[in-house]
Amino acid sequence: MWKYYVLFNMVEGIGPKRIEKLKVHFGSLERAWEAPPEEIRAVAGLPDTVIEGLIRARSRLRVDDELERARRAGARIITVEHEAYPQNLRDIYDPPPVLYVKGDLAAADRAACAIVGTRRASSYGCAVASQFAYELAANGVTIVSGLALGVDSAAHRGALKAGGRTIAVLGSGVDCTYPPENSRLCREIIESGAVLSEFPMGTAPLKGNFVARNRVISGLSVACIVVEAPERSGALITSYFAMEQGRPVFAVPGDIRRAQSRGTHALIKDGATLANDVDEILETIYAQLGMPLMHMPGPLRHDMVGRDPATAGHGPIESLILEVLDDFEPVSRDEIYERAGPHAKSGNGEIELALLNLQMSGAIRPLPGGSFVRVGS
Amino acid sequence: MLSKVYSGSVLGIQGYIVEVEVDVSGGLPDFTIVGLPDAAIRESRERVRAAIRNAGWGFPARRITVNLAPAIIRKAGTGFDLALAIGILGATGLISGPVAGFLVVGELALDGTVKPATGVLCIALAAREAGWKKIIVPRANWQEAAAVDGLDVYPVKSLREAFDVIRGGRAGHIIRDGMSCKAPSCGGFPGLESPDTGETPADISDVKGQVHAKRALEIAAAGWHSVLLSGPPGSGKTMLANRLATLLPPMTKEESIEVTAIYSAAGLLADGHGLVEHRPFRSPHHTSSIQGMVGGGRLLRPGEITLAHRGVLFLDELPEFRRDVLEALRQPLESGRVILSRAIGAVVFPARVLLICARNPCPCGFLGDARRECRCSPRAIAAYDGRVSGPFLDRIDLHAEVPGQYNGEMTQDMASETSGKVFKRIMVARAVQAERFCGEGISFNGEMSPSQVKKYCHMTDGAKSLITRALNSLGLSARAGARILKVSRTIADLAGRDVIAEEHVAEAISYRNPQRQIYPP
Repeated sequence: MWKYYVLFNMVEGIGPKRIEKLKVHFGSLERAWEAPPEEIRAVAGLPDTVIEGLIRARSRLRVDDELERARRAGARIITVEHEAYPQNLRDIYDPPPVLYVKGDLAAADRAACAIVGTRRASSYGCAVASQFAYELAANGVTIVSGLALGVDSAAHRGALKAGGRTIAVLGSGVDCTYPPENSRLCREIIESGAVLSEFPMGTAPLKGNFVARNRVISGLSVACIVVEAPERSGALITSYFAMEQGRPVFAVPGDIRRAQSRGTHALIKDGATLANDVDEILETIYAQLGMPLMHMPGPLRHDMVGRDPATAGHGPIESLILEVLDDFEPVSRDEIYERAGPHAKSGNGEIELALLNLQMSGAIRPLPGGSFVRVGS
Repeated sequence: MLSKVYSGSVLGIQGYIVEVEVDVSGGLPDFTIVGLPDAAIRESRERVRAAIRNAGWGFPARRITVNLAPAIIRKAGTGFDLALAIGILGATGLISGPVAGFLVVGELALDGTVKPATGVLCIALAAREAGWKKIIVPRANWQEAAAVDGLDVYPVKSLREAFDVIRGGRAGHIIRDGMSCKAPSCGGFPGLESPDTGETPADISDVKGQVHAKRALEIAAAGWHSVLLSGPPGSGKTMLANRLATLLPPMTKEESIEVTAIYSAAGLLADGHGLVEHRPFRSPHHTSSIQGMVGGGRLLRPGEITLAHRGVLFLDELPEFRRDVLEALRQPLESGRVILSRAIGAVVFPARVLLICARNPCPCGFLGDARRECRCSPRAIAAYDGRVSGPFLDRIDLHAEVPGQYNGEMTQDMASETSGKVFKRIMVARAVQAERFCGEGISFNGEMSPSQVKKYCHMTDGAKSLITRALNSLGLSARAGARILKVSRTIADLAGRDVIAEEHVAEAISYRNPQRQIYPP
């Protein structure tokens, strides 16, 4: 039975709703697959091109080939009828009938939260995404995102850093990592969570796939945080899906002068919750799950602002640099020179040495344009 | 009757001596030139005929055959006119006795005046090499020839004057060993003017802030390291690049002769100017062709990289250059010369340039800018990076960021050092290098071979461990490591230190560590 989900899922033009329709019409998917062409043509509400495509595909597609491709890519196939199918996703209006999964889905993924945002994130956006992800993951929440550059990557990384679980939902087949820059991150996610897709093996990362992908991101989660999204961003689409699916939406406020804040600010105006506190998000997540707050597994941390840099174990110039730098706003090299210069006896070389040591220890991060930020948490 | 006159020509930038044999015999009037002349030389028949007649002699109505030897080299240019005319005068018996002893170079006008020729300096150098003592050159070119020691230079302005010099009737004024050669100024050379010819000379203190980038220029000038400046539009990249010239010491006489020879051969020396004194600063447009950049063509002309020899080659808007052009520059940049092999022979052009490149950090120009928003997708940035090949970027020692300046003019005014002050440090570092590389065949840290790096880059233990850790954690290649060492050597030299310490290595690494993504994968 489940094999027919895989087969129908591979036919172009046939999605969850049409599979459902065929299933109802024929009584079972098996009978739909084996039905003579005239009977399929008799199904109301299917365009002719889709019907002809289906008829042709039936003779061409073989489920064993697809299983073999998935096996070779190290992916499992889970259909909507399988008990391992994520409960959150099953609850939405149009759950994908088939999921290709690399890595593992766990029961704990019930407590999942989506963190999404623009690919062109500012350092502030990346830092916030990473920090929310870190603290939520440290409290046992699975972080769901889309493996895109920018906010998505930062969210996955934050969760990994906390040793928590994270799930990446792809807009392509699981055998093709997109974007290629994130292939290493992708491997790390498979180690401590899952990379999954509803698209058959070998599907290219086509534009249209990403909208469908976004409903899976929100569908897997019980809440959705949007960190930085310009107008008409994919992240906003995810948040609209989340609202449709009855999942609360949080939006992180940003610099009002930046284009990346427009979408999130519009969300806040439209009633999304302003996200500035991990506790509040955790509370919402647990309320969604019907669990009391006191059952929370990990310790809570709430230090989004006003943290003093950990200067212990650093030399005087290094400590000074840590004080000059900020967690979010980049500080230019010239400014660092100006502030630390009077304390560097042997000139700017000494400052560069301190910067390099701090960078190698992971306490600061250089940015394009020759500026630096402190690395939070 | 047969006469022989010696002249010279240039292949690439190498002068060579040409024997001009003229035979005047009976038969139908005719004038033939053999010995692989090009069209311009064949046309010289008409110029020579008119010049001789207008100078007051009769042109012999006899059969004239001219041979240019060595016959195997294809000769080009108009510098043989004067020698041809003298040869004809000799062969018709107007000049009694041999004209040997003089090398004759010059183009003729129809009225018998001598016009300037190209490559006079190259020919004069070849003449001295071949043991010549006396050279007749166009008056407009005398300073070039006079720059060569050990030659008596006879500047002439007409065929008649040349005739008199050879007959010994009138010596004109002779320049011996360049003695009457006053140091000529070099204004008016294309591309040689100091960049800003405004009232105040350009100075590095004109650029406010940009401490890190300015320091890169200092290191570049001290150790002959290549630089890449990247920054948003208007941040001062071009201004900085132009100021690099103010940090370079004047050329030595030998360097000056090398550079002048190139410009002389290329016909780019303005009339009446002698040695080029200022280092060249070439800034070719990004649409330049391979031929324009490395040289070549039918006449084997030097390219921009050779015209910038001993000076600065500035590639503004680096990613806009054609990729094949940049790839063609790679080998010459490494070896300091261009070897061009053509059917007519191989020529070697010197190409020891100080390379400085500038680019925007991304297509819109504002990646990492403090105020303006970058509107480029990560993909577009990656594509922009891909326009210049990794190996090319890898060969650039100093990658400096030139961030946009928004602090207004007030803050950094006091701290800005003048070119003169920086120049003093550079000269100290150069003196150290001159001593170090005495007899090694190189002059600068930037030119060290791997074995020389091993020999001269002594580090403290701390520095050694720092560089190993940094290469690992920043993911830099072994080649980048070698470049870092060379730059550290220069930084230590600037600090007057014999052994490279940690802070020198750290500063060198700061120029190899550009960030391209706000959140790197």
